[in-house]
Amino acid sequence: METKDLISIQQFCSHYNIPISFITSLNEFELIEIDTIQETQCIQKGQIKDIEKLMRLHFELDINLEGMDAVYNLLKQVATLQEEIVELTNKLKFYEDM
Amino acid sequence: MSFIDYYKILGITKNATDKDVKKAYRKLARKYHPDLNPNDKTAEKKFKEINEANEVLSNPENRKKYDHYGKDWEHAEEFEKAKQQQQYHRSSQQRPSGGYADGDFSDFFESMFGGASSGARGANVKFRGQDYNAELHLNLEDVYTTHKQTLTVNGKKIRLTIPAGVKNGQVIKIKGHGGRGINGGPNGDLHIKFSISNHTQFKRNKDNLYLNVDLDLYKAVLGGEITVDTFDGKVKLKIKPETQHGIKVKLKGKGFPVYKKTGQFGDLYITYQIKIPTNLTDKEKELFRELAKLR
Repeated sequence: METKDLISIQQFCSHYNIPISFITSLNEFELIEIDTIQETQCIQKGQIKDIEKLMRLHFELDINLEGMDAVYNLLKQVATLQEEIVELTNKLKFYEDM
Repeated sequence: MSFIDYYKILGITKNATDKDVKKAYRKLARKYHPDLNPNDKTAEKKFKEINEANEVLSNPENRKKYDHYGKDWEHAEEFEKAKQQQQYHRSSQQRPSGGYADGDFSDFFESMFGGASSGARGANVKFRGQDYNAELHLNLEDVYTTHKQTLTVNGKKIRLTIPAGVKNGQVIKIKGHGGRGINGGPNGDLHIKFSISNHTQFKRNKDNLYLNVDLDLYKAVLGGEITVDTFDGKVKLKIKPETQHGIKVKLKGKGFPVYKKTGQFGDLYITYQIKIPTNLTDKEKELFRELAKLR
């Protein structure tokens, strides 16, 4: 992976004004992955969108890490189910039109 | 402009304490937050109302003005000053809010890696604007070829390229056409959901098309040639002798274009529907009887 796709945790936390412990906790709960490059802990750019979502759940809605873990997994299921609904609706329409 | 009862929205009374406001907001936000209600427009609308109510009632200055001026509270000159100060204060603390719809890059990434203006941090954190959702109704014929269409979203004209093969219910993202960014942050995205109606004789399932073709009895028995409509013109097909009712033939590459794969197409499946002749003459009946005797 190219280093341009990574950002140090320290830089990220300083930008958002959040404690580094929040990111490490997300990692402990396996909600995100931390990469260590030359002794610097980093996150991948692709994860930022997810971290922002987790930040909103935690800081705006006061949801603790255990709750976030549960909510996050349920949201993933919702997304998969919504995709499946679209696909099945199209399939149903196909047979209804027969 | 009709009066909005922020107390009613949060389900609290006028003499609610700051703690009551916060508690009511948190409770409702957990219920209607767009992160927890993906693709739910009703929840999104409700959340905006709750947020607005909280913006007003959780700030003592705002609340005082609201209680005093009612619906015109925002126009109070003094309030505007206070609001400006408050916005400055909030910008140094707030975290991304409203950028809840999915995007390829976050506002943070845009400001850090986008190269445009990465200097501002801390007191002037940039946040991506709100994402907008829209629905576009098209006919199946419209999405057989890639074409451009001009849409008006929130008063702004957007020239959009609609790729061939887009599916019913599919959502595409138009980057930067959502709400304006905060503190010079990138704009939100526009999410367009396609609603595709099919009024053609073809049925579509993913990239494949299906068509029923009537075949007269004699051609089915003896074989021959027919002309069949496909989505991009007519084709001639040979009918094998003794073709059975309901038999399917596949015309490779005559289906629907594959989304974002130029030159690739699904297949067209033709089902033969053999039509038995009606209103037979006496002579015809007689000949059929003779045929039957031969079996």
